[in-house]
Amino acid sequence: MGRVVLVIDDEPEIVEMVASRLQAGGYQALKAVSGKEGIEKARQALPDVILLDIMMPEMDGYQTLRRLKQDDTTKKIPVLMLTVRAWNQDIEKALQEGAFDYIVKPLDVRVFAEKVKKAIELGRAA
Amino acid sequence: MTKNPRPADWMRMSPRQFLITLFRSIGLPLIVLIASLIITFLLWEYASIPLWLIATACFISFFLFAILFALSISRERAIWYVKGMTQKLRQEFEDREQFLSAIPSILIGVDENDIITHWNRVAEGTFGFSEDSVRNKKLSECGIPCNTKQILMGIQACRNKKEPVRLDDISFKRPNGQEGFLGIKIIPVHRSHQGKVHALLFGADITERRRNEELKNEFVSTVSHELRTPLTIIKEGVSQVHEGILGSLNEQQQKFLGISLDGISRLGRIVDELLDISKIEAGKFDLRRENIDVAALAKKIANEFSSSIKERGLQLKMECPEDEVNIYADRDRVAQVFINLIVNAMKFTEKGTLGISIKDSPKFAECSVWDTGRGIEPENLPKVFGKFQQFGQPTASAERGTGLGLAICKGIVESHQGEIRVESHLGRGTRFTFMLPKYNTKELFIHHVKIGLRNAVRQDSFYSLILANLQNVDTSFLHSIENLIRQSLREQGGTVIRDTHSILVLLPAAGKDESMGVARRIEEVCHEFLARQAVNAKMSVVCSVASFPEDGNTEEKLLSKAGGQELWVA
Repeated sequence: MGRVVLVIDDEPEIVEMVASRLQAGGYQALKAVSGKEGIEKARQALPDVILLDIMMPEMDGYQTLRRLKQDDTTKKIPVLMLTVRAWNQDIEKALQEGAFDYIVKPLDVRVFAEKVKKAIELGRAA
Repeated sequence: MTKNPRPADWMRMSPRQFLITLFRSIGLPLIVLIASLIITFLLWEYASIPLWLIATACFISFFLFAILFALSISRERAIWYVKGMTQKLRQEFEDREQFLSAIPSILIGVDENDIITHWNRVAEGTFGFSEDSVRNKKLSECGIPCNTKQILMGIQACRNKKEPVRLDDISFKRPNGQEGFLGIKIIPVHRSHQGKVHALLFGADITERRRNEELKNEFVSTVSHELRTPLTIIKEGVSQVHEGILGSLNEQQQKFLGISLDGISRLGRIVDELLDISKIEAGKFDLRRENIDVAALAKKIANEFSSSIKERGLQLKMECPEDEVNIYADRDRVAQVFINLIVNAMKFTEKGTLGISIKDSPKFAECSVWDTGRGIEPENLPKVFGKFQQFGQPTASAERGTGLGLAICKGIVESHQGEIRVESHLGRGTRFTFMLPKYNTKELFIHHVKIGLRNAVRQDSFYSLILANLQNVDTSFLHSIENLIRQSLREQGGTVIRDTHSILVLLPAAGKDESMGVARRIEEVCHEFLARQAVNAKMSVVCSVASFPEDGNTEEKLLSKAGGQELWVA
């Protein structure tokens, strides 16, 4: 049974593609297309890692992150932010809010695999 | 040619003025003369005094008259002069007041006790307070809806430094109730004899400008998102098919998808470069600065490029000091400069050597990328850092760039307060050199505390700093200790800056008690860590805390309160 990764992004195509890549890497992928849906799925399934987009309508990545970190059941799950590297302040802010690391879109295959693996190792250790 | 000396003011009396002065001055002396002549005449008539005595008396009378007249005329002249000067001064004063009130920006004058002495019409309009209602009141007590605390600190700083101070983004309430922002420049006005320093505040309502800047930033960030999202989808789709995740491909399919992927990466780079240059031009190039070893970074990049450099039949030459060359810079951005320069050198070098060299000096880290390529024509040299400039045909296998790479390099180096230059000999090669400034601990810490302090004052919140002194700690543990501290800050957030023997932790919005708690926790984790290493029993980490506002309101005061005095001596 592979590790479970939850992908939260408002673009369904991106969620689809990232999930496909994760499955190819031997992970089990869960999909969510909004912050709200993501939080629900995170609570139910308790994934090993969450991939979270920063720029989303309604509830953005920061708000979603904050909710996840406030909830006792989900606060220990490492969160990797997905970002298009718009501004460094965005990344800084996400890290200060408790994100584990960030991944830049378009994805670099090697970096993506490394960061997901590292996050899972940390999640297991904690 | 010497200029004729200007005649003294009192010599330049008009003839009419002179006659009036003469007339005014002659009265009293004439009365004295006539009186003394009458007395002399009476004495001669009735007291039978000898003639020579009478003659002497007459003579004395005239003499007295002459003296009195002279005194009187100079007194009149002096009065005339003082009157003239007073009038002139009054005129000048009135002119100055008119100039000041005609200045089309906010003008507020305060004396050495921060009491308002000037308040022009623009200030009236901006704050909705008339001059009469605030004049002769203290700036802090006049009741204007504005962050006066921040302004007063600015005035204090201006007095201490004796030079102008700029304040940006001071929040205030416009008369219509909306939130606005002011930009203010404070200029010290010295009273030459009293040693007191008044201050003039020139300001402008910069709310609109700020809003425009925010819109522009938002635009860049939206465009960046909108362009990269479809790019991500295309890239992911193509590369997953290319990798064979979704089933095997024949050779032709594999080849074409490979070509497509190259095109996609190139498109991605062009989008990145266009966004970078627009950020540089907007002056909004944000750096994630940290302590980095630029020598190690250069070696790593050279390593990554070594195979493609060899493939082109070029030699790679690396000149780099063994020791760390620490600078305080954005790792990714400095790497971008190296990569741009290396890619550029590869494009225009057919045979010979591509070199990378790092030199360490007390003030700068000097980094060069050089080649033995075809060189740049002298007339094109001044243009190489311009936008969309491309010279010469690159070697056959190289891809054509956007012509933005070097402009971005320049932008990156300059946003690090460094400089970049190029030397080139046609047919012999080119050398790009960029200098990145090294900061000493003091400059670095002061810089950071200052930024945080400014925000705290603006938001009227607390601000604390913890200075962790590493005693007898081996430099090989520095990274680990820095990471430990970062981890123990996860809940609070905050900034960590490292030096060779101290680590500064900045906690925005944290009060003294909270920061004391954080400091104890940092000490505990560090002690645990060091105890586990068990190399040197003397190693220890000692934290001290300083908080705004109770421990001071300037960066220097806070840092020295946190026990940073030794830093100043070092």
